[in-house]
Amino acid sequence: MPEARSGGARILSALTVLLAILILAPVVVLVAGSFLNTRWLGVTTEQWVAGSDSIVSLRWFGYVLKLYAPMLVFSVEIALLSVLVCIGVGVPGGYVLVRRFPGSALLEELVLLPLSVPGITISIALIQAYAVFRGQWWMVLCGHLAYTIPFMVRSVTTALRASSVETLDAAARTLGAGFFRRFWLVVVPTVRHAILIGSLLVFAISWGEFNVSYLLNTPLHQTYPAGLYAAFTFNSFQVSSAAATIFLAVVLPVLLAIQWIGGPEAVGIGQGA
Amino acid sequence: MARLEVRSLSKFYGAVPAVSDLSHDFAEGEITTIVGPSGSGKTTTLWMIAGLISPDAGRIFMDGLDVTSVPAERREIGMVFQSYALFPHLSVEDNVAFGLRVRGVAKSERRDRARAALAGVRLDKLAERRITSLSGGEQQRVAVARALAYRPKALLMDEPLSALDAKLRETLRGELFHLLRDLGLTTIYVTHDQVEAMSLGRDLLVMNGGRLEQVGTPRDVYTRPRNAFVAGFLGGANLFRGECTREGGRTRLALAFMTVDLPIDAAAGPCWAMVRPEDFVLAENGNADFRADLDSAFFLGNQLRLQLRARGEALVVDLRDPGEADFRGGVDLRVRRDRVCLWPREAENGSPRP
Repeated sequence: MPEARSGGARILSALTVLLAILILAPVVVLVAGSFLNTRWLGVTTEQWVAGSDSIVSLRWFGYVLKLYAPMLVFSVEIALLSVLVCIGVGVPGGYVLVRRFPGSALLEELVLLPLSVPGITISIALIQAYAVFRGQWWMVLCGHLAYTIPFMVRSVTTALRASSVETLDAAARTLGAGFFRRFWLVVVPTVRHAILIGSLLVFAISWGEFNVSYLLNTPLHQTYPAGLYAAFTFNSFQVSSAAATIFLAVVLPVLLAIQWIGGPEAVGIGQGA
Repeated sequence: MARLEVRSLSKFYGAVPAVSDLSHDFAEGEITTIVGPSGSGKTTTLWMIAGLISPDAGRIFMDGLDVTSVPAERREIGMVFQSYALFPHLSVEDNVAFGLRVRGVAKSERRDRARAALAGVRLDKLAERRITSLSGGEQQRVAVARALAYRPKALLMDEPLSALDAKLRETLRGELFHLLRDLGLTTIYVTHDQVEAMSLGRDLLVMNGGRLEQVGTPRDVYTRPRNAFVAGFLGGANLFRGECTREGGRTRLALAFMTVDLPIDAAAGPCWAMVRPEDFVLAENGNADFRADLDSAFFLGNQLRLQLRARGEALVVDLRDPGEADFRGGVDLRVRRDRVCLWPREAENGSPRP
């Protein structure tokens, strides 16, 4: 019965649209709240600039940028460093893991383990194991790496397994290329797409990571999400909206790029970002 | 050009022998073909010679030097893979120049030599192209050019034509044959295709279950197979149980449906007799060895294939020039006596493997 089916399809479409609206509404309110007069929006009134009836104002962005600039910079630094270390460690690591050797499956499971461990656990483990280093900025980096390296490794191993890299590697050997030549001239180019996707993922995850950052950070080294939390706790709706909008402005292009570039390696995105 | 030699080469996967106790001297400057069904150990053998797999036992010699522990990247043995294994991120020319690049050959010389190698397979016009834009046949030729461009001492080919369709395979087989013959390179060519096995190499190695079944020229191996496996792998083979007796200088062979005297030496006693389908001819003037009933007939264009039955034995006969006869009333046949193969048969319930 085509009518009944199309009726069902119509209900499903309507449900999908409704869900999308429900999911997106908070984001829209958040972004709108960061620059619109909220009295005009009807949300809240209290802190809109006294005596100003203009509908649009960007002053909260200026306020946030001034207040949270060190955290923004720190977060970007940590995210970029995470990407660099993940490439340096995850790509050779993935190359080693796809070669079958005794214990390789177990090792791979261990490397991927942090994917399924809550950030709080990782943080507490790091704090307890390296209490001496608490307060060092690179402890935050270590926490992020524990989280992000598995994503790079998985991205690379997926790509290596999908490509026939073993045969390409064998061909390069018969042509006279040693281990490092093969890694640079064959393996890295074969997985460059996966490295790009993995890097974007790592950046997005590190940029948005809250648990580890919040538990490991000190007043001197706070990440931007920790600042967001502070803005939400101590500041007005407009300030936290502006802070959150800045957060989204950085991460959304990265997420869009991952979707746009696509490929099998982008699958992990749902769990991370 | 190099002399390749393997001595007692063995490789096990777990307890299963992939190759066991393989020894052979590969003819210098010639093509040697290794043929066998999948799982016969032919590819494993090739990968061990290339240095890509290390043998569990045995040695590999190149020009008399033991290279068993020399890694693949220092053996100077070119290889063409079944899947071509071309680097998808490099152009055709950069693929061909890869072996020169890792040897530190200067860019301009690299380019010239890569172009020359491509010209050798008539692909110089495609040098700038991406690998993915090439057809299967073109990729195959790029793989050959890449393996040859750095002037290896020997060339290994692992079923290089098996991914192509039949027509293209035949064209490329001819081209490859001429290219390799002109180069005079020691070449080992692995295939499971009996036409390639018969036509390409000077020597033919037949492998089965990790063992070498027979070595010889293709003609020898085809006409004098050492056992039923070799006979069946390289062509059609009718296998019959028989009894041999010695009569003067001749051998008298008694089968269920005929008794013939053969001009060959064979031990008296129970035997297997193998006759290829094309080694039966239509009898003339009442000189038939036997008469068979027709089960079915298939017209194959260049021959007529008959499935026959004679005294309970099934046999297949290929006739080159059958004329207009339809054989429904039975067919009188004669066997070409010099083509019959005899192997001793151990026991009545033994498998058809001498």
